[in-house]
Amino acid sequence: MRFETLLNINGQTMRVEVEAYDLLSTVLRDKLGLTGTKRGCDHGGCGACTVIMDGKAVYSCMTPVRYAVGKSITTIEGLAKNGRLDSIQEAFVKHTAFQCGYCTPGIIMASKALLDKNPNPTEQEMMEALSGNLCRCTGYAKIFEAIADVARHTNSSH
Amino acid sequence: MRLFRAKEFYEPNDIAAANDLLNKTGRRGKIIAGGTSFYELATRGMIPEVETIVSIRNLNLNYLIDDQSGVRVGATSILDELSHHDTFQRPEYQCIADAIKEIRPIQVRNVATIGGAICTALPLLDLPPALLALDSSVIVKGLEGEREIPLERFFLDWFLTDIHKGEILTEVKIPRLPQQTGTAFVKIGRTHYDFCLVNVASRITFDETKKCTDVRIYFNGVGRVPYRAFDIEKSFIGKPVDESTISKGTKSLETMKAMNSIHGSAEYKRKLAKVILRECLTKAASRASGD
Repeated sequence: MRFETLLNINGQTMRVEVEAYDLLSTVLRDKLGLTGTKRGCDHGGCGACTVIMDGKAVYSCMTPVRYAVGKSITTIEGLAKNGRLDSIQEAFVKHTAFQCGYCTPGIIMASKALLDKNPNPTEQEMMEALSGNLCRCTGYAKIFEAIADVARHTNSSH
Repeated sequence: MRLFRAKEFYEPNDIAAANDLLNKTGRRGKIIAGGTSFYELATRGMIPEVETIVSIRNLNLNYLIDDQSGVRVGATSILDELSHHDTFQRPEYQCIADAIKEIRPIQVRNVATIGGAICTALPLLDLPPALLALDSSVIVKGLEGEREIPLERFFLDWFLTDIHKGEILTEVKIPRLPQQTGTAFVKIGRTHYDFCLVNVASRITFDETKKCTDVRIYFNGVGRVPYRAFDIEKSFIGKPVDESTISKGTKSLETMKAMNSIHGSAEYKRKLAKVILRECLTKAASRASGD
């Protein structure tokens, strides 16, 4: 059962032909070439595929593509504007909040969903928000430093 | 390797059409709501027979009605939204908010639904014991009409519930509970975001002298379906919840039947159960007394 649909990704409307069993993660990567979103475990265990759908962090590997129709999807590719990195990406670079980098797009998207809702999270809230994102390199300390740095900057600029 | 390839995906707009699709497809058709349990099982190759996906998200089952008769929650209500709802911050219903907060991560809570948390019927889930402690029931609708099933009789085995072919769980009903009732839920897992090793939900109702008039205690993670600790419940009736009654109650868990798993032996689970039951009862009692 193949059908054609429109998806709103990073502010752009994209036309794509999909199958009944297609998931958002595979459509993003294989059909739209947005390979920033990673496939790790493919069953909701690692968080590498996290994207933001209507303001909420979701696993794109568990989201049937039909559920993304009519929603506003943000992937890691949608963060940089006019060639400039987003403040969270800047902070991750500044604090070296990654090593191999495979989990990083998912972690940045989960962090963004947190910071958009709660610009000044406690460490407990950061741990809670990232509990669905596995990173086997960093031990998370640098990641939390980067998020706290973004929070500090956002709050001091107000 | 891709193990799962459904051929069809339907999103009917009314319940009868969904019933009809499920009747026609039988074992080859499966309902999804949030999809988190479904796709986990599908990707792991556990439901290779499924060819037709029937999404029930367009059936307008995302609601919560809280009135004199009790609380009715639509099957596709999202867990994260429910956990912040005023109703579940009240002492008698707080075990629901407790349980949902223990369902991690946020990526799952953002899309998973109350109906899915029940129908998956994995005896490690957090919401079923909390709903059982409140004497909840579920409404299932089929082409022949609807049935109300007490949750106590709903779970039959691993991944097996009392839903018949073609039926859909549409609503969860939670009764009104008396004054001076408090509930709580406590979970212990291998990691912060894993399924439970053991979890427990309890409900306590006090009379004016702070003696228990009604108690419920349900564990998950110990058997093939949620386990009700009848004997311990009985031991509290007419008594206060204090150090001596709790110690006596938790002691009887030493003989509780529990299943071994790769994450914890039965003996280990019994020990954990004692610890979390103590915490759970203390919390529920304090909520029941309005502390």
